[in-house]
Amino acid sequence: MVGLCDCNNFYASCERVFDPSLRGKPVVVLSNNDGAVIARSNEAKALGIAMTAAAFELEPLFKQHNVQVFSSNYTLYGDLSNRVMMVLARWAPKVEIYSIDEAFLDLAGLPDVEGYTRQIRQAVVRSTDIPVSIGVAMTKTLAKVANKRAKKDPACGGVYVLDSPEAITEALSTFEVGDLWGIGHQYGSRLRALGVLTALDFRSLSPAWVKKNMGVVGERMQRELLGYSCLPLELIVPNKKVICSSRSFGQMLTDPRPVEEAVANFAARVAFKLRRQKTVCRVITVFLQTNFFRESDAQYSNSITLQLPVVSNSSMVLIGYAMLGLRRIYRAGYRYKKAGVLVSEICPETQMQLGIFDASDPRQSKVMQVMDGLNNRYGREKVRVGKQGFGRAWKTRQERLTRCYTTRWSELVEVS
Amino acid sequence: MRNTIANLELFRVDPDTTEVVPLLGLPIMAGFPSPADDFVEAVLDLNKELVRFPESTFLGRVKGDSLRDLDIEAGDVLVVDKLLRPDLSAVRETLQKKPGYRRKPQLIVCWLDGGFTVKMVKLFPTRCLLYSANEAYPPIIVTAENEFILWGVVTYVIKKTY
Repeated sequence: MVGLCDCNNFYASCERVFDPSLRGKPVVVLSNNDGAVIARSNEAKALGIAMTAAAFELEPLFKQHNVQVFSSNYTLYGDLSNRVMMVLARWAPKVEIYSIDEAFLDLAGLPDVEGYTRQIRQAVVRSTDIPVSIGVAMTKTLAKVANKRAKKDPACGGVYVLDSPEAITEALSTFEVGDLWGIGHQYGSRLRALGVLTALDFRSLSPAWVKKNMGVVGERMQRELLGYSCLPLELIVPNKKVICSSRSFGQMLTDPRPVEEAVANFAARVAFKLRRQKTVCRVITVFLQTNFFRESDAQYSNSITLQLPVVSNSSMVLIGYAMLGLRRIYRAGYRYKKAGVLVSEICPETQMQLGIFDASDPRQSKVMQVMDGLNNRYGREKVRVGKQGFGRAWKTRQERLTRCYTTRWSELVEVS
Repeated sequence: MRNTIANLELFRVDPDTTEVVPLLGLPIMAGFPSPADDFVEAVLDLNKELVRFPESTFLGRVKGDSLRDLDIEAGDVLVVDKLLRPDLSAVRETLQKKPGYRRKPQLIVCWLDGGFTVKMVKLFPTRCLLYSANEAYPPIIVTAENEFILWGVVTYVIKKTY
């Protein structure tokens, strides 16, 4: 059997861990720059607050119902996510981390799978205060279906095991086809147009038709719904093919200086991520844009892609090329809203192929090693490349940020 | 390195480790074992000593002097484990200083009406009492009217002594 463990309203639940007075109250978390709603507690959902709703339009509603509003605190969410995954790893021999708040669990060969799953759920809740729902079934796709029931039906107590053929048929008959894992928006509307409304309708289609019209992905999905596992747990996270660091600025930038500083910081972040997964990149892209939502403003956006002469993961090297690229696309006289740095053609450090005449400078990797070591010990970005600066003009707005309770000595919970 | 000074054993402490729990069953690099491996002296890991369950352990910092008699002062760091079940039976005996009673009182981090507080907790059928360790702070009576949560159990107190 496979379990899918999903954290309920994860970001909103994280905010409650260190402020239990938020329990039972409507809580929403806003996206970067406090722009849109990206997480809602059940109480906030009950008020009709929609996902991705614009925060400024909701201010009156927030006031009226005393909704607690937070900037997204990804440092805190990331730490609590790790903790949830660590608990799961204690209980299941294999865990596939699917996203920040979801993981598949190998629950094969247990005599009492439901009882065991309830113990897992309790361990997560007691260790972290994060409520989770766990759906269990023969395949990942069915576990997703079971998870939805576990979350929506209070009688389940957060755990639902979907095992008998009758129960599966019954569950699929009320499950919208568009909500199936991997169906996507496009297939969803095409299937509905053909009168295939539920997951059961989809499962009953002729396999030949599914294969012809939806390819191997559709075929797999149909077999998974029949209880044949086609998607094994993916235990090793493949290295990312592209790494991007990009933000909207906290305010419009008209000066080149803070834009340079921002891009340098994005490049440094990307370089750090490359080093962390022991990879290097060959290609770097820099992009820059104004605010398209402000129609009264003059609009401009551009990007540039550079191929590095030698693959690298050095912050100094990548910042150098990012600056080169930025200078080529930067035009004075615009109000800039967003920029970013993206690297691609990523390969492992060990496969670094040196050009014959332009071998990479071994001193770079030494400097980076020392820098990462110092930052690991004394805190993120304590040592940085000069170009990154210390300016705050470009920083994202996070006016309602909670503390990083678990990752910063200066922000521990205070008890009296 | 291990020295013996009087009755005190000193071990070298490696502050640089972070405990890593095997998470994904990633393959462990198998290379040639170092010939020195068999001779490495014990290096003590404070994380392992102080943190039994990393996933449920949180740190807190003490404010105020309500635990003065237990030598817990403002600025001390508390290691708090949420997974451990609070033991609420040891309080009275400790407070009454029964002869021969050696158990340490369990300190519990509680959420009380909008703030965290660390106290010794005694449960009664309809209410519970929160004890400080300083006569200036009388016990707090908690009833169903209060917003009250037993948040975690203090497992270590870390203090600076110089």
